[in-house]
Amino acid sequence: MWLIDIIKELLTKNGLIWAFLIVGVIYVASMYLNKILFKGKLNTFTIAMIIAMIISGLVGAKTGKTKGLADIPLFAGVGVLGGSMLRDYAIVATAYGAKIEEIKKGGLMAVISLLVGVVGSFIIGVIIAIAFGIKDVKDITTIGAGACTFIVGPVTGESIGASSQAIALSVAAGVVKSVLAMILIPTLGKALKINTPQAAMVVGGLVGTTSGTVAGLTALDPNLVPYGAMTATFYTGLGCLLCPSILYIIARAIFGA
Amino acid sequence: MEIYGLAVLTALFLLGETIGYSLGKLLNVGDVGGVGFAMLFLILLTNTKYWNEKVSEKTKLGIKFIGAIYVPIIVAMVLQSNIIGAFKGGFIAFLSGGIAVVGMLLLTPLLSKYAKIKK
Repeated sequence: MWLIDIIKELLTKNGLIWAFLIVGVIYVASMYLNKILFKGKLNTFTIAMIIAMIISGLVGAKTGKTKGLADIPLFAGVGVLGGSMLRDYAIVATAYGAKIEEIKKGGLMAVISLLVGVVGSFIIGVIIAIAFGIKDVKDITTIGAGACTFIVGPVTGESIGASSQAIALSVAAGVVKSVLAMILIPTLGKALKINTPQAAMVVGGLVGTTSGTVAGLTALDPNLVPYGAMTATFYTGLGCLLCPSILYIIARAIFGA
Repeated sequence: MEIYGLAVLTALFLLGETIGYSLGKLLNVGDVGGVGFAMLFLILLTNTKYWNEKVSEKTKLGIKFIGAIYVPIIVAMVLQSNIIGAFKGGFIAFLSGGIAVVGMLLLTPLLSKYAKIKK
């Protein structure tokens, strides 16, 4: 029908602002779900995120591609709104209002937690890889790197020449980590006493994975986002630095034939 | 004016990313914390006397607005994330990513306790 064609054309042409409407509708739906089903006890953002995950998973299962809803041409604007350009720009803007004193207080601990976070995640990934019988030290290293973030994994794998299967696994490990961080940070936040800017900086350093940490902290307490996001954004860089170099050399010395 | 806020934010963002990418080039990796540097610059700027006394509310509003729409941006980010990929990776991916995140989260109280003692 001509009207549907016009609407389709308009929505495709105005992808970015169409995405505002999509996210807005998801948000309103989440607010009402929260009110009606959970009596306002949950966080609207958490529900919006779960809905987004479900949509993205269902679409991904149908299309067999990797970009969720954005793989459907009609909804490509979601990819622009949620893409790295606007995301990073907005993450920087969240630093507005953060206090220098708080950052100074947590600074040293943030650096330590970054090191512990990268090396610790790497070791965990390596142990799992070995436990599952992976023999090649390049592949083991790559999976260790994937346990850092889904960017560190492929960057490391490609630079040391791991198998494409290991690289795919490392991306998956990083994605699992990101998704779990989104869910676990708000659920465990209270128990783990993530309630100060310093604690948020430590979380950012330990967990890394900017997308997961930022989404998780938003659901927990938006005021903590700038602090956690700041350390988390250094994590991937540090991981890309350490995994293919020092950590690979150490792994090779221990597990290399 | 609001556009000043957006302009300042972009300038700081690009400055931070330039540093991040330069560091990355130097060390032969990608971007080393460009966003983090940009955040640091923004925090330094907005904590100055000049910013708090001389800069107009409208300029600040430009930055605050972008900070505020960051929540819907995250929802959009989740909408285009590779959820299936996380499940398809099988046990190795699930365990290594999962244990990494749980293990590190459990370490959080320990390290943030030290952060408190430090001050």
